[in-house]
Amino acid sequence: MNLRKRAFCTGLLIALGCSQIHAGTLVLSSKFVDKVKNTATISISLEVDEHLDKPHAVGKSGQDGDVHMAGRSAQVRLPMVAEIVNARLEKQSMQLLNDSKPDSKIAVTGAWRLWFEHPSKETMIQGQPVNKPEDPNPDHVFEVHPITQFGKISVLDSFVPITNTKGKEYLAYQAAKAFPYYESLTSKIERNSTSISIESGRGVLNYAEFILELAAKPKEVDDGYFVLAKVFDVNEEEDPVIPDARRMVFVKGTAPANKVKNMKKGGRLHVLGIPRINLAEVAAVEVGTPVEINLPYEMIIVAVFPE
Amino acid sequence: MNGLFGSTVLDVAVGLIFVYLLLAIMCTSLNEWISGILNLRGKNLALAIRQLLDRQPTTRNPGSDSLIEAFYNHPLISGMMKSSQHPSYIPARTFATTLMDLVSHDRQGFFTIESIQAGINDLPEGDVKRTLNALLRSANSDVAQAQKNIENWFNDTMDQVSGWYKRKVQLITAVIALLLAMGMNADTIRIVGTLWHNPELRAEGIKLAEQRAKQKEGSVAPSSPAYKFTYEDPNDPFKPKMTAMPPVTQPEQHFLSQLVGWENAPTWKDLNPRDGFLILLGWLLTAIAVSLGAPFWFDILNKIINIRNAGKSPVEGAKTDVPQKQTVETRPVKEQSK
Repeated sequence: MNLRKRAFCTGLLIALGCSQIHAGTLVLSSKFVDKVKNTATISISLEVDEHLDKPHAVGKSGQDGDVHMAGRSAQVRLPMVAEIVNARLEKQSMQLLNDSKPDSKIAVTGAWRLWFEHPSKETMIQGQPVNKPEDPNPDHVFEVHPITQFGKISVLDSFVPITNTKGKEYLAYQAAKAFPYYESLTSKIERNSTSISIESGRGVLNYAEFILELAAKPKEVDDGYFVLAKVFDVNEEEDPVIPDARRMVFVKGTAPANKVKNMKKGGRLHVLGIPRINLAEVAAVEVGTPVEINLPYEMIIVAVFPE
Repeated sequence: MNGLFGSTVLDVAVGLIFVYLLLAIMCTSLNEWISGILNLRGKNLALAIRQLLDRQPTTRNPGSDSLIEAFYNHPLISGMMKSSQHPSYIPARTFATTLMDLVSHDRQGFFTIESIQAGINDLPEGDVKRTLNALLRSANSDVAQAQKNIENWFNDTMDQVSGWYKRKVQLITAVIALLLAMGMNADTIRIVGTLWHNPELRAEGIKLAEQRAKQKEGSVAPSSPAYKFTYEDPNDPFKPKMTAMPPVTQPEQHFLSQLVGWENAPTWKDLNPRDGFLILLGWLLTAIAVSLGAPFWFDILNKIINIRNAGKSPVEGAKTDVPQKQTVETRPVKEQSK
């Protein structure tokens, strides 16, 4: 590697490291954790307070083709956003969103996602009053992302590779970069009999493109499939990028879920995924002494790339 | 020898510091184990709770320590008791919430400053009543601030009690360090001699020391047991388990075994008084060093490795600094952030 590349990489790692300094703390109710830890999705009634009128462009960085909405939900009781992936494909949903009146509530189902990308400086405690958001992307750690059902409209068909109208593909992080980064995130988890507190640095990387190899046959739940899988980079298919298998989440009815449900151990898929905190692992922390541990995460599979 | 940097002296120093770090990690693990068995943390915390809440009767029970009884019977606290053993840790938030719930008049809905104040007023005279009144007065009728004040009160007392605990642990550490040095025959003088005369062992030590130094401080802390989540059965992705990772890895254990231990050690009969004295001195030096703790040696190891790497020629530095496999930067990075 030449000096310029080394300098660039060093700078990038320092920047990513610094981004972890802005830590956030989230306190979740144990009941909520137990309810959702082994589910792919959550169904809520969302009071949409702020939203974008049109989807993000498709390119790189924040240009991920999503449409953001911020709101409040009695089922979540945390500052939150919800996002439709590939929103340009979902014209009916965009119409419904743009026609929604202030204070109106919309039934939303989708993959629940906790991730410390935009944490608040204040501790976020589930159940405390949530202020009305002032923009479509307020401080939050809870997301319904990607949405699968918006009002009465199914958006399951949005779980495909992200492209724009001219066919330009979204540039996600490659596994060799994304996964070592996810693995480096640290957290402090503390459980008592009624709540779980998670303190973590910021996790700034979102979409990752990778190859997964199933460690077993997928397990079906009511709304999806869970499976442990090894992770490979697209350009290095022999050695996994991380030593241990990670849990993968597939939402029932989506193209990735339809593909994986009949696969067996050793089967491979080239996928696009986003990380979320693995609440099954969080719940495995014993009550009592706080534990410092690498942030437990799993991947929501958003799309399967063609062979 | 090639001067100080990149020299045998510096390499032996790195090796010795690394040995001290590994022994200190083992010492910490033993200490944690003993503390766990004796429930030292729990006993210490119980002492702190007593200091905070004693001599306070409640409206229902005129006994002088009845608030403490009510505190331990509260579901938020009793849920943390393992087979009636005192918890080793209570978060400040839980302490404050429990106390506010115990004194508050209302048992439903959000805490209000009025209900807490009324509850405090109803308490019989006692130390806690006076303290809570003072904490509430400085909260300016803000419930969140009142909770914060109670948390700070708890934290201040815990800081004080932690001081007692630390002194107790330091004493145990010193005893364990001495027993470890003697039991493992970890003789500083012999370790230095072995490292000095064995370049391959020095190289192995430096490689392992550099790997250990790369560990991020505060995450996989060198001084505390590290954990990871594992799935015993890959067919069951719903049952993760938190497992402790061995504090000293197998390659590190192998390196250590070549420097310490009773194999090939002379028997006492073969020793003259001078050699015997040197062995005792070697153990004592090891025990003193180990009792300084793993974080201390981790810090020193990082510093000395930095000095060692700074003193290398650019070619030599490039050879060892670049990881063998660099997959991250071998192709254009596709950047994105939401």
